[in-house]
Amino acid sequence: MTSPALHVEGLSKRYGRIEALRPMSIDIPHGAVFALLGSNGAGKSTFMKAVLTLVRPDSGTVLIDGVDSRDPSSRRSVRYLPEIIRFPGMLTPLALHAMLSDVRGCGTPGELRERCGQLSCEELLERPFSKMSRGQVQRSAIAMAFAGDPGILFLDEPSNGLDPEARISLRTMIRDAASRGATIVLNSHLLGEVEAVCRMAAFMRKGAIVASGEFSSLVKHTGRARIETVEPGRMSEFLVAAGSEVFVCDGGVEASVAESAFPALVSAVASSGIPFTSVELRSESLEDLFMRLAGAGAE
Amino acid sequence: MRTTSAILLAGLRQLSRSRLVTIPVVLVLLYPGLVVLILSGTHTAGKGMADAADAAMGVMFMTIPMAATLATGFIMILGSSLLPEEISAGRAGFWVAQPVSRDSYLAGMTLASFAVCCIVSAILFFGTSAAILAFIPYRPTAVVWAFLCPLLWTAANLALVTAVSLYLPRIASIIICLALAGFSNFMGSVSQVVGALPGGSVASTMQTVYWVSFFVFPADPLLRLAMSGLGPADSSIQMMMSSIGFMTSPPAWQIVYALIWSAAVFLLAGARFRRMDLA
Repeated sequence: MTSPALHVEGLSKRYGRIEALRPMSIDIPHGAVFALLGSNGAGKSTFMKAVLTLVRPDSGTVLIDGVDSRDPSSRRSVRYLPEIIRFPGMLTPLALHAMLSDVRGCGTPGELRERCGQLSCEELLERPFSKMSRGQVQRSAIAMAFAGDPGILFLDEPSNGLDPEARISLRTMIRDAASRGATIVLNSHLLGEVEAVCRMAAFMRKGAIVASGEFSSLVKHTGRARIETVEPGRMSEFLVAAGSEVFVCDGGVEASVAESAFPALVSAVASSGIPFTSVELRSESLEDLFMRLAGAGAE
Repeated sequence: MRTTSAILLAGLRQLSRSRLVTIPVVLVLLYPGLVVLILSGTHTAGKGMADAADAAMGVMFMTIPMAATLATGFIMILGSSLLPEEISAGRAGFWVAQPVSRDSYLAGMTLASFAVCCIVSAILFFGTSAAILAFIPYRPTAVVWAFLCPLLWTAANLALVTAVSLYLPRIASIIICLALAGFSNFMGSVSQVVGALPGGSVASTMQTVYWVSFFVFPADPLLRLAMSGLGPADSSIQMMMSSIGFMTSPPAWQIVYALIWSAAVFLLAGARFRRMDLA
């Protein structure tokens, strides 16, 4: 059995009276694109920083590729894109990348050039950070994070300041990196972006992980089935007559149904003689899931 | 070791492009030039009026303390800015997220700032001495100490401000460190004067205050040894000053204590940095 890309056990952090991280444990497998989801102040950034030893945890163990994170060599293939950073204004991305390559003992200007090409920002390579806009700094930082062959990427709000085109490029880069075997830990408030690239997540609330795993295993049945039909009126009448509560929305018909009664509903709709194109059991959207697990009103 | 040297180089590259360094370096370069300008006028006027060594001694006595004051200001400002600024800008965390230990990061960045401070101190101390030597040739008292002590003195000042800046806000650090440096220097002079006078309760109190200030921040002996080393060997002024305690070399144990103190304070800064949250 291979060790997970990231193994966290009993990690906790307290700032005075504030419990920023309650003791938490989680494993993130190799090649996963893993989202950290939660409201502001839920502890997502602190979690990343504690894993990378930027903040000193009060307790817990973190293994990166099986190596204790306190050992600097564990971070050899790690790339970190912080939410907020001010690079030295007089440096250029190329100069900073050269410094990072010296520290890592590997890296070439060509790999940064390639990533900048993906983000359409080659012209920024030799421009000082002080002469870049917020979005341009972010593009450069993303290019530096993805340059080379990272094993595990920690991306803290990577879309901050990016235009739509750069966001699309970022998604492509995340998928490409994952397809090459990289593990990506993504902290983002943009659920659409998360849904587009992630299949797994940890939901955090008040410094604790309240749920984690594949989205498919976390979503709940909403108690409704959706029937796509060209005759919503007739279909509604039929379902009401059959004893269901009916809602007409977005051109389709939704009927309340228990999960166990869904096969019977499908049979009834099929035998009704009313034309329909599909019947599906509705599940929570990521937004619904977020609100249920990590939102302000979560139980 | 490899990561420390990589961080040292990164720190030097970063500092060499920072206005916090480039502007003061250009300004301190003007100081020896200013000394040259003054000497080129006064030397002609005073030609033959004083022995060369005494004239050099007089000029040194006016210019080197000023050079030390300028160097102190620069060290305090750079030392109080570097690490706190690196931490608050997120750069320290960014580096520590690389395969770099905190000790390597701190050592690399501190060595980079030490190198820059040494350059500034060297320009001020040696540049000023060279300017004086160019007009009034003289024989320095102790060349080895003249070279070593300004650098050791720089290390002591930098150790103090690096450690204090990791505990206190920047402005408070600068004020406290400048006050300590000034007080230590002042008490060093007072102690020499009262040491040469007949004993009394005031003298005894002054000596006690001096020893307290010495043990808290022992940079003064290093500065005195630097001045003594740079000073002309055969100046009658120096001999006169020595009779009341000025321009004498401090005892060796004080220099050793200052070195141990500097190393210990750097280690204290390291211990603090290891425990800090870099976010």
